[in-house]
Amino acid sequence: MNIWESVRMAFTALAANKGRSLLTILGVVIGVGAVIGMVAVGQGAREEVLGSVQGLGSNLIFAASAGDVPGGQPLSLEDAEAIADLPGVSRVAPEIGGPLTVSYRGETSRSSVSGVTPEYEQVRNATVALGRFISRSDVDRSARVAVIGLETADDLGTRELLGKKIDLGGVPFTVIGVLEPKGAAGPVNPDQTVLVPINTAITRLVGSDSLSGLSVEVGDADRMDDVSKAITRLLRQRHDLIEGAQDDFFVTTQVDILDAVGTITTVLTALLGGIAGISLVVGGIGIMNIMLVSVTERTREIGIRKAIGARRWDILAQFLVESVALSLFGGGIGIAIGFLMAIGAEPLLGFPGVVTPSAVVLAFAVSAGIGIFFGVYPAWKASRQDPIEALRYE
Amino acid sequence: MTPVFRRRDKAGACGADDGTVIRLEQITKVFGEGTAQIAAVAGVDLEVRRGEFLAIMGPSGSGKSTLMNIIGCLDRPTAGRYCLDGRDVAKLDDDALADARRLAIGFVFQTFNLLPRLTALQNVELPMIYAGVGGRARRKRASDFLGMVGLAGRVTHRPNQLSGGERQRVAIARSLANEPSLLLADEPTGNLDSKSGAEIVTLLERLHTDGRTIVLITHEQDVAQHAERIVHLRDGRIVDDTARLDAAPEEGTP
Repeated sequence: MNIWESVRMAFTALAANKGRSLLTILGVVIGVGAVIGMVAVGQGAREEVLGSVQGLGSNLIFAASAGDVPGGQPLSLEDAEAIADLPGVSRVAPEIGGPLTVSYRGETSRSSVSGVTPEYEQVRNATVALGRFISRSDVDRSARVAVIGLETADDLGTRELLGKKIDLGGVPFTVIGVLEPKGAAGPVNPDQTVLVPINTAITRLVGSDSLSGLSVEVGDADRMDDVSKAITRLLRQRHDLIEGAQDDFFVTTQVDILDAVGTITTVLTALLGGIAGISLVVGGIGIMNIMLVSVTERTREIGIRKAIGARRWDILAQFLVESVALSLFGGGIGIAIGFLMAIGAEPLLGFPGVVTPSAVVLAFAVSAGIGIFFGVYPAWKASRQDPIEALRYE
Repeated sequence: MTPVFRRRDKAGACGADDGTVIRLEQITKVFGEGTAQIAAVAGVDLEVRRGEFLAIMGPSGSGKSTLMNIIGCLDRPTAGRYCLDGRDVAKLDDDALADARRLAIGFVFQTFNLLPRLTALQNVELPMIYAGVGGRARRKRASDFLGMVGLAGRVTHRPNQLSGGERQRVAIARSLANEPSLLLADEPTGNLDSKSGAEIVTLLERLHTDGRTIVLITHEQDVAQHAERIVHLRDGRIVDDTARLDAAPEEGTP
């Protein structure tokens, strides 16, 4: 018998029991929908976080003090200048500062306040939407000027802050620029920030020249590892660390961070998909259950078909195609629902779910596989019926 | 009516090519084990020639149904040889038996055994689907056969929209679908009123006149009277085998 005849027979049989067929595929719909939706949320989270790490700039190496090493020295501006002279390094952006309360006309914002140099603009990909960035002369003059992030501006109640005086820890600063929004990246929100000239931060806000960190831009992506090692060697030498002593700083490349974030979000995606996968298995068992009922109910039909010459394979194919059709239908609708979940995730989670083509192909293949896996036993049972017994069945 | 077996090699040749459709040699069917063994059919020898119209009669428990299951290739005998169309089918496997049922035998049952969700046309198409006949040829042949049994206007009706006599005629059309060598009718009038029953018998006679080989199983004497030859079965044995002298002579058969 032709496979298309099996398909036609299966659809006739499924259409004869519409209500039951729909309830049966519901299990697969929920299973596939959950897998697609959850994996989409996981992928969305991954792309969101990776995107914001990449948004920090490109080919970056970060260095920071390891606070709890006995006898360790903090990173200094001199360290930053020495790193800038290393071969392969294009720019170095030192930072100093921490969280501080910003206020303007009675409105306040808890923002991260950083003293930076003009290099910060290129190294950290900070684009000014309005006004200008901090200049070399601002740093040299220890000018009391500030560039603010959009969320800080919103906290202060107005985006019309250019040229206005805001208060940082009791010191008035003139706003000279507003940053373009970047979106949240991990623990630090780059939009809830205030940038000031580094010398001003040292003298007016922090009172020490210990850097909170520095970002190094490397000209050639292939030299990231070399430069990272060179920075480590240079800092150990400058901090007089003897052979075998622990580093009193951390050096991390952007690639290391991307790898770590990638690993975490992959695990997250697998976890979400795995939990959703359980419901897919439950849906498959539902198909098997209904197919077993169907085989018993249709014993007489099987007997008639066999009596007029259907082979075992014909009967097997008929029931197998039915279960595969059920699961593929369920899979198709489930994929559509997964898409809706991915879209619906945006207002709830703040980022869109990402449905990849491979997830759709996989979901379809898995639902076909479920139809075969859970359909084989009932179909085999049907094909093994003895025609004489089956014809007598009432 | 060419004998068609898809797997000729599987079924060894048996019987001379002498116009015999069925040859049963010492066919025995035993049920049960050890001392509880019962021989439902106990050594039956029977030959049915091409174009013959044979009735098998007997009281319930005489082994009629078991014999009919064996003749219909639904069951295998415990012992003996069964040549159907020159092939030994006694030892065929399930799929080869299915091939025989599909191509060599047309079944007509007491309870019609139509599929309730299919139309008359689709029911008649079914054996041809399993025989791999293409869609258009299949529908044409199915409607031809329905026309032949007088149901040309009823092709799209489902079995529950048809009377008992009409259902049995659909079943007869279905049994003819693959042009089998043998038409096997098991109490075809058992569930019908006498008028519809008479119509079915008339139809079977006409098919016989057209040259078809028919084996009819019945316990009604007046139905059996339409056959050319009546075999009586009792306790699994043939007790009487009578050719009716007044039966119409065969036409167009060797």
